[in-house]
Amino acid sequence: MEMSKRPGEIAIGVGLVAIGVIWGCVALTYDLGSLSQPGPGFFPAGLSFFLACTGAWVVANAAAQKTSDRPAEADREQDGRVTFGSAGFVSAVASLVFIAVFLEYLGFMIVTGVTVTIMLRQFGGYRWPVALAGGVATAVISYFFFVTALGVRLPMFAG
Amino acid sequence: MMQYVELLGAGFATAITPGNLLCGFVGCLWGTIVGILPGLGPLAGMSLLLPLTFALEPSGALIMLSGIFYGAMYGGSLTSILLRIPGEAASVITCIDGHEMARQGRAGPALSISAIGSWVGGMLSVVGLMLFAPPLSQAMLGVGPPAEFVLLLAALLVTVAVSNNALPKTFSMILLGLLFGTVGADSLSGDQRFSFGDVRLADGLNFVAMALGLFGISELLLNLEESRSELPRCPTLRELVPSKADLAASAGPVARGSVIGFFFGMVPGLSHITSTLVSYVVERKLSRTPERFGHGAIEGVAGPETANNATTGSAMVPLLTLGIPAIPSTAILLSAMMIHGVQPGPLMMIEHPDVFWGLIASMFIGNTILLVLNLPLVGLFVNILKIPYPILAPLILVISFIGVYSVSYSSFDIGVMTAFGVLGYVLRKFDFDVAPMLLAVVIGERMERTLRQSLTISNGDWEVFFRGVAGWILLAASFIILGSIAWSWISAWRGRQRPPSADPLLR
Repeated sequence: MEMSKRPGEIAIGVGLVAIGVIWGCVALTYDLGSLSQPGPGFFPAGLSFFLACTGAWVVANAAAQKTSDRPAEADREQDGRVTFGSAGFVSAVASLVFIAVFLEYLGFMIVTGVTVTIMLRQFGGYRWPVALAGGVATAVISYFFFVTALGVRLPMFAG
Repeated sequence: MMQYVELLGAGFATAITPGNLLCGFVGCLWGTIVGILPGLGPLAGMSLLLPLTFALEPSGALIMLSGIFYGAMYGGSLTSILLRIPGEAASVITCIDGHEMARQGRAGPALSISAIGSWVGGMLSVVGLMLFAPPLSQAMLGVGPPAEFVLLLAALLVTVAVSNNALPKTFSMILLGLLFGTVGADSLSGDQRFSFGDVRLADGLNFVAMALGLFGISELLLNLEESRSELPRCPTLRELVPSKADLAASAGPVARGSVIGFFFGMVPGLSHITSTLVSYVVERKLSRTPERFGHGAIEGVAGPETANNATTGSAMVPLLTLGIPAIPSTAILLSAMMIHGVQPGPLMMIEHPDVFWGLIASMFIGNTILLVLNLPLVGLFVNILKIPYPILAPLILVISFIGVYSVSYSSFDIGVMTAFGVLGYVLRKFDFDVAPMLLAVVIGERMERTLRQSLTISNGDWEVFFRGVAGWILLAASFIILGSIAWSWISAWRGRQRPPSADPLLR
C-alpha cells in the first residue's frame, strides 16, 4: 500500500487526540485528589490533556505544510510517499500473532518449526523441503540453546 | 583519589572472573554484529539479548549489555566505511569521508583509525566517568522529590530540544510513553489503573515486550521491505596498518572528539548522534584544507568516530549517579538494573559497589576486546552481511518471542510485543522517533511519584519546583534548551546561506 506522508501524519495526529481523549475519560473515573493531595487519576488526566493538545498540534503542522506557497514540485518532493503493509510485513505480523495465540496450545517446537518454515518459503523463496529442514533445524537448535543451555522454561509440545 | 583506585581494583577483580569476561566478550561480539547489520542498532541488539541476561548475576548481565552498547558503536563504522550504509545512526557522519577513503583504496587506514579513535574515546570517557560519577552521586544524596522531579522533567525537555524530529512529534512520543507508563498499579496508592481487571496488566505493560516491539520487531518489519547491496572488498591485515602521516593527522581530531563526545554524552537526547556531527564540523573548521572534507579526509573519520564512542562512557554518568537514562540504550540498561534489583542513582555506589565498579572496569576491558576483535576479524564480520535477510529475519523473530516469553511466561506479552512492533513500524514510516517514548516509559513512574510527593510536601504550592536545588536544575536545563534552539536556528540560517552540497549526507 502506498500513501502520501501528509494524510498519514494527519491520521496519526488524530489517533493521538483520540488516545488522549479516551485515556483522559478513563483517568477521570479514578480519584483525582486535590493539588495538595493528588490522587491516582491526577497524573494520567493531565498527561491525556497534553497528549490531545499535542496530537492537534501534529495535525495542524501536517495540514499547514499543505497550504504552503512552495512550488508544486518542491511540495511533492517534501511530501514523499510511504509504502507500507508489504507481503513481508503482513506475513511477519501474522507469524507473530500465530505464535502468540498458539504457543501455549501447540508448544514451542511446532510453533517455531511452522513459523520458520513458512518465513523461509515466503521471503527466501526456498523450496519446501529446504524450508522445512530449516524450520526443524531452528526448532531443535533453539531447544538446545534456550531450554538446555540457558534453562528457559518453554511449553514444549502440543497439549 | 586513592580510594577510587582501590575501588576500581576491586571492580577489575569482579570484571575479570571467567564468567564476567565471557559475558563481556559475548556482549562485544553481539554488539559488533548488530552494529554491522544495517537496521539493527544497539537498541535492538540490547533488547533482543536483555531477557537472556535474567539468568545471570547482576554484574555479568550489565557487563554483557554495556558490551553490546559500545560494541554496536564499533560495528556501525565498518559498514559506513565499506558500504556507505550506516550500521547505526551515530555512524552516519563516518560515511562521508570514510567511504570516500574506501573508494580511493584507503579502507584499511579508515577502519584502523576509526577503531583506534573509538578505543581512545571509549577509554578516556570511562576515565571521565570515574572522575565525575562519585562526586555527582555525593551531591545528589541530599536531593528531595521536587529537585528529582525537575531533573526528570528537564531530561525529557532537553530530549525534545535536541531532537532532530519536529517538536510536536517528539512531544507526542514522550507523552505517549508517559501514558503507557501509567498502566498497572499506582506506586503510591496501590490502585489499579488502565488494567481493566486484567491481571496480566496489573504490573503494567511489560517493558521488555515494549522495547523489543518498538525497536527489534519494527526494525525487522522495516528491513523486510528493503533490498540489500553488494558486498565490498575487504582490506588485508597489512592494509589496515595506518601510516605515520595518518596517525599524526588523526591525533588532534581524536583528542578533540574525546572531549566533545564526553560532554555531549551527558546531555539527554540523541547526544551520540549530535556529538559526531559537532566533531565533524569542528574538524572542518579547524582544518587548513577544509576542501578535503567530503573527499576522503581522515580527520573526518577520526573525530566523529572518537566522539561517537566517547559518549558511551559519559552517557553512564547520569544513569549511574541520577538514575536518568540520557539515551535510549541506557534506558535498556536501567531496566536491566531494576530487574536485577539494582537501583541506579546516588546510592548505587554505596549499595552495589561491586556492580558499579565492576561495570566501569569492564568498560576498560570491553573497549580493548573490541580493538583486538575488530581489526583482525574485519573480513569475518563483513561476511555476516552475506547472510540473506530471509534467513536472518525468522531467527530474529524466534529470539524475540522466546526472549519476551521467558520474562513473564505469558503469551500475552508476545501480543504486546507485536502491537508495539506494528506501532513502531507505522510511526517510524512517518518520521516519528520512537526512542523518546521508551525514555518516557522508563522514567514515567518516578516522575509521577516525585510530582505527587512534592505537591503533598508543599501543600499544593507549585513554587516548590522553583526553589533551591530544583530551581538551579530548571535554570541549567533552560540554558541547554535555549542554547540548542539557538544552535538549530543558526545552523538553519547558515544552511540557507551556503550553496547546496553535492553529498546528500551533507545537505
